[in-house]
Amino acid sequence: MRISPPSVTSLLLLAGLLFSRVTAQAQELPVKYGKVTEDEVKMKVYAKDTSAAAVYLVDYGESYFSVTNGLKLVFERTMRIKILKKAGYDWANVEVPYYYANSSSKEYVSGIKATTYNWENGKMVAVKMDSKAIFEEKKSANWNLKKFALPAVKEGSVLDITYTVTSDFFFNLQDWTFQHSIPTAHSEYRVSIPEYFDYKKYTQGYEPMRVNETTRGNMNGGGGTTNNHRWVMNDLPAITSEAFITTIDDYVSKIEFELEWIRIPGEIHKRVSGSWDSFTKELMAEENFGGQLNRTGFFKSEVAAFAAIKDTLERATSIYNFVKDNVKWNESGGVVTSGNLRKIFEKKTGSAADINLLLVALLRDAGIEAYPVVMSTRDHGRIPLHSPLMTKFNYVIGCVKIGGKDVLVDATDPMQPLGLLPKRCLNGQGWLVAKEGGSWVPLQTAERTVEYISADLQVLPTGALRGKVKESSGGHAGVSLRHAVHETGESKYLEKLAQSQSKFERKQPVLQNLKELNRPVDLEYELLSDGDAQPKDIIYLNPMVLKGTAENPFKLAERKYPVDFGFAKEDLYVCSFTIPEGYAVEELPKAIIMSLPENKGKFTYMLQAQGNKIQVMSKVTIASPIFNAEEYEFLKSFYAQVLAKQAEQIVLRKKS
Amino acid sequence: MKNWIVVAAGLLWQATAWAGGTPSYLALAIDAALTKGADAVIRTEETVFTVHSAKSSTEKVRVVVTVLTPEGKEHAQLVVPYDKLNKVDYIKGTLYDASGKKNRSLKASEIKDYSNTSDFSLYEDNRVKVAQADATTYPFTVEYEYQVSSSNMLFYPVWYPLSSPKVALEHASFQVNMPVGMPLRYHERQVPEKATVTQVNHQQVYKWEVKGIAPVEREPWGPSYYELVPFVRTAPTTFEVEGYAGTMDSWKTLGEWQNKLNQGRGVLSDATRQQVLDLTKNLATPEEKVKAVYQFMQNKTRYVSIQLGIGGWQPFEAAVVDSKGYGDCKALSNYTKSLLEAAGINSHYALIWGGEDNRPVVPDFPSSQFNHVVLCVPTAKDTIWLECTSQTADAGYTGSFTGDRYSLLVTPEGGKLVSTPVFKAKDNTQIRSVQVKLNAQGSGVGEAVTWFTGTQHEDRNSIMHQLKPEEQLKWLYKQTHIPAFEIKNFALEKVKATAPQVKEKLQLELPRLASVSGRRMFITPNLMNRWTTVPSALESRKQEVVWNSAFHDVDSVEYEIPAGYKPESVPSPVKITTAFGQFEAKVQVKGSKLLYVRQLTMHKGRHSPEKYKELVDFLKQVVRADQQQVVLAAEAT
Repeated sequence: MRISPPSVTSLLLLAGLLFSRVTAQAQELPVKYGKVTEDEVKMKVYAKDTSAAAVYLVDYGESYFSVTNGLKLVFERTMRIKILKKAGYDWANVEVPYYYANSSSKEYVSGIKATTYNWENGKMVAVKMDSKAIFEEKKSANWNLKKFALPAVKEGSVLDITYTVTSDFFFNLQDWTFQHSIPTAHSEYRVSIPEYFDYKKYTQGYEPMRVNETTRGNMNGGGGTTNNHRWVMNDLPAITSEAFITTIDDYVSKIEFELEWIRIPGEIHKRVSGSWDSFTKELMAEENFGGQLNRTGFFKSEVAAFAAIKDTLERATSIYNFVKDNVKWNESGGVVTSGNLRKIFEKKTGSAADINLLLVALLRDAGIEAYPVVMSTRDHGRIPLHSPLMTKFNYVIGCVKIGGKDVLVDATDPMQPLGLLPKRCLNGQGWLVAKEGGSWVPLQTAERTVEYISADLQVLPTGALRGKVKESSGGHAGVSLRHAVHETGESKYLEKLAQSQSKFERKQPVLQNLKELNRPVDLEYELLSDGDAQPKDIIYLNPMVLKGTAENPFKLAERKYPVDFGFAKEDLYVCSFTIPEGYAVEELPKAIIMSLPENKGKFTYMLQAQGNKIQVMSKVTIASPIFNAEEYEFLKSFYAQVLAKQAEQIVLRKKS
Repeated sequence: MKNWIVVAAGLLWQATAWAGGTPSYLALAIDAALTKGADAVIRTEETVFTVHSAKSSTEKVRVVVTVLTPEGKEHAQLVVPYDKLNKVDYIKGTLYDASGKKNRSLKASEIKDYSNTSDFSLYEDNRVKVAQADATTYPFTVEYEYQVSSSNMLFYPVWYPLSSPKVALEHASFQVNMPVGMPLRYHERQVPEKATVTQVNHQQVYKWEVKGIAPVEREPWGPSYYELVPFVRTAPTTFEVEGYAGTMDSWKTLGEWQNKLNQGRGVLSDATRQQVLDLTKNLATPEEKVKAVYQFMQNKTRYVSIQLGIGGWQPFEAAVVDSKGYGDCKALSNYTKSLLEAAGINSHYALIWGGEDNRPVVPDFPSSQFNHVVLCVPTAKDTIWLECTSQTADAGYTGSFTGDRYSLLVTPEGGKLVSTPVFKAKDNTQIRSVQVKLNAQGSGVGEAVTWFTGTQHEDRNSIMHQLKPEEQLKWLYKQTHIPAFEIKNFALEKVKATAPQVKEKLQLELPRLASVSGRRMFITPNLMNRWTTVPSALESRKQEVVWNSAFHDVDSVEYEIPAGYKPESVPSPVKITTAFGQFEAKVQVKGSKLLYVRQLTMHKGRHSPEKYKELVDFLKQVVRADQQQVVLAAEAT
């Protein structure tokens, strides 16, 4: 979102006032296109990562402003890539995306050059790419690609590639990603910014910045100065994704920008983005955000009906259901609405911003204290807390005050009960937007997701089992189960369940509470398992029989990034076995209670034999969903011990 | 290569009024027998394909779909592919509400245009127009009409009005208008009534009609969906594409047409010819020469998809590949053919359907049913198939990508349909031998050595080339199914043998391998190859049973039992033989050692519906047998 783009007049003024081209920076360039050394071409392995399929020897980018044909932002990039193995051939296929809005707001790519260098018969041979080998593809309405493949690529080739992207979107200073899925020996970005612009910078990642410097330079012609930034990282390892993370984008080393101030001499300095305070004010002033929250007159009759409900929770729930039932989510996020709320309501479909701002507006109209919360979804990465970067937000939810408590709401999913956020939203903190000022709210759901199995089973002398089982899925598990049932249809779902041939048969399965979203979904069935044909002298009984054999979700020895489950959960299992007459318990696994550091996880396992009954209770709790990389070892061994303990068996022996 | 079949067969409909008077789009009027289990109903789908001459045609389609549930939303979407030779003349859309009342027309802005290229393709002009009618109240009805004009006459429509489960069909018709003297060739399947053929003025009119089809659901391990629904293939006798005329009433003539396209495209520079000669002159056998040339090509080139030239069917010239070092399947196969020629070896450019979704080519219906090109080298001893788009494939290996199917050889005498090598259970093996040392705490260490061949070697072969060791290790962690384990060390190596083979060696740490309860220890001797899924039991099976994977697994696991423990309970041997395959497992006690041996062999095959129960019972027994445990008890002291 761009709340208040700088006016055209001030830009023209600026262009007239200033520079034709910012002066080149004094620092020597890390790479010159075409100046490949023999050593680079002869190199056989990359010593810092001998298994690498390819490596960026140098990745160099430079951004500066130009006024040759109006104010433009120019981004030049030169890369030198070494191909080491066939698996690295894809790096010789290059795509340069560029954006086209209209003829006066566009980007264009120029100066594409590429050469492949090979070592052949004791000398360096260069093969230039034919400019006819550059193709153009229209990817979507606004996005285009320049595509090219370098010629004569072999194991050992060095590729030199250079191109320039010239952009009218000067507020959109190119980000720089230092790290790639292959290692990078040298990555450098230089940005020369006239003193009239202030860009906010945001760096992230786990790798150290070797150079981070700013020097002053002079603008050509204009007499103003520039801030010349230079960032360098060296010897970056390849980055690859892992399970249980939000998005790899949260961990890659990169630098991003957002235009904050424009200070044109003789004009009032203009703040384009700013503090959290101004961020909040701007959102409130924005027509398609704050502006919409006050325009709900068209709901008079509905609001009157809601207002009649005395209990706040009940009233909020009715409004929440009303929005869910009437506006379908179009699966896009958004921070501002796509138009006015009335139209959206009539269209009956909208983005998360449309739906949840409508929800907040209706709640307020019905006399309930409610606020929008802007946030970022898990796949969109985390929000930097130090200063607001608009592009970091991509979603809006609501926050309702009920009985003095904050309840976070999202009406995009019809299966979601009030107070539960979809997993995509469980991502750090969100910014609550209120007239009197904003504040951070943790994007967590108060309740943990509980999965509960209870069973009463009869053990037969053959080792077979008979009895009743109830599987109860709450929270996020309940939502997924409701979706699964909805997708297949309830009767079909149950039919499939009854037909499925696992270790045991599930007869007469029944689902309960499918519609009561606030309660867990219950699945009840009669269990029947085969035993042997003959009664046995010794019966080995798996106390966790209903859970099946599980594998440790954490197999890898090491972990670089935090483990993020998303939400707290509890796995509860209570089973009562009735042992056959004439048998006695010979062995019973021992009870255990163990915890993870700081009680972030806990395992309780109890077994008790009394008369002809054996009671088994297992409870695995993950109280806090995020574990940092240092805690990985504990988490892995915790799961290993849980699984080992649960695998222990009960032994029944026939009395002689 | 692009998936031409989809291009030709998208959703094809057309606009002529059909019997029954004014159509009513009242959603409630649909027969309840059709709506049961349906997310959407095709009210009518009418395709008229008019051939003007050997060079051009027009296809008009009209389709009306009632979407019943939000899950059926995707069926309100129309996707019309197009390219340089296929132009979209118009697309119109109209929305109706549940009562059949017209709501509005689709706006031009609701028809989006996307490029439709695959992976990294340097150049393709494949694009799609996508129209999406959306509503929030269900049911609703959408009507689309569009027309595509084509000058690529290599492809005539493949008509299958039902293309996804959970969709019912009220009515559909397919009409082909041919100029008199240009007979239509066709192949029908699952159509209740055969084509009617009439002559109207100067046109020969062929027509198919189907009515009232409830949603077609695939049964587990059944035939593919497309075998269960009405399916009509059509093809020309004579055709022309960008000035290249041909006939395809036989595989021979279709091959002749491809020959024309390839003509004069195999010229190599003298320098390259000399290079090939130098490379091969001292090699004794043609097989050695083929391997050397193939490796030369693999080292010199890489695969880049470029879809240009005669509807995408003409290869780049060999000299272009030679200088640029890249090409697509056509260009690289043609190039390799030229290189082999320079070495004095004859080979054939071979059209094929590449992919694990081995779509059967209809052998008695010569037509363009291919999406890929390989090279076939007949030698005195054997036929060598070469996949020229891979830099790492083994010469002669076809496997799951091109094995066990038909291929059209383009020989100087024209086309010849031949079969590629079949992969039977004994060709796709996984032979494993494991040594485990178990201690009194129930933990163990082990070494597992496994040899993989045929389709079972493909994954490992590809990760050996594609992944770094750290990533290979991660991959192996995912592939290995033991409740708790750590891979201390691993090695993957290619074994020199007649067929490509990979040997995998894993050093395993097996914490809590056995579960210790008091004086007993429980262990599941099948360490790492347990069958876990059984298809659902069905009351009545209607469709044939299709088992598509042939393999042979042997697992031998030897456990060294800790001192002081004796087996208390050992599972009885299991041996099951069925039409689908054989299973055998047994545990033997030899002093302080426990030897577990398991063999599972499955055969590819089609069976009658009654055999389904046998399959379910068989797999159920395998699952049970794989979970059986050995109980060790400490001797009383």
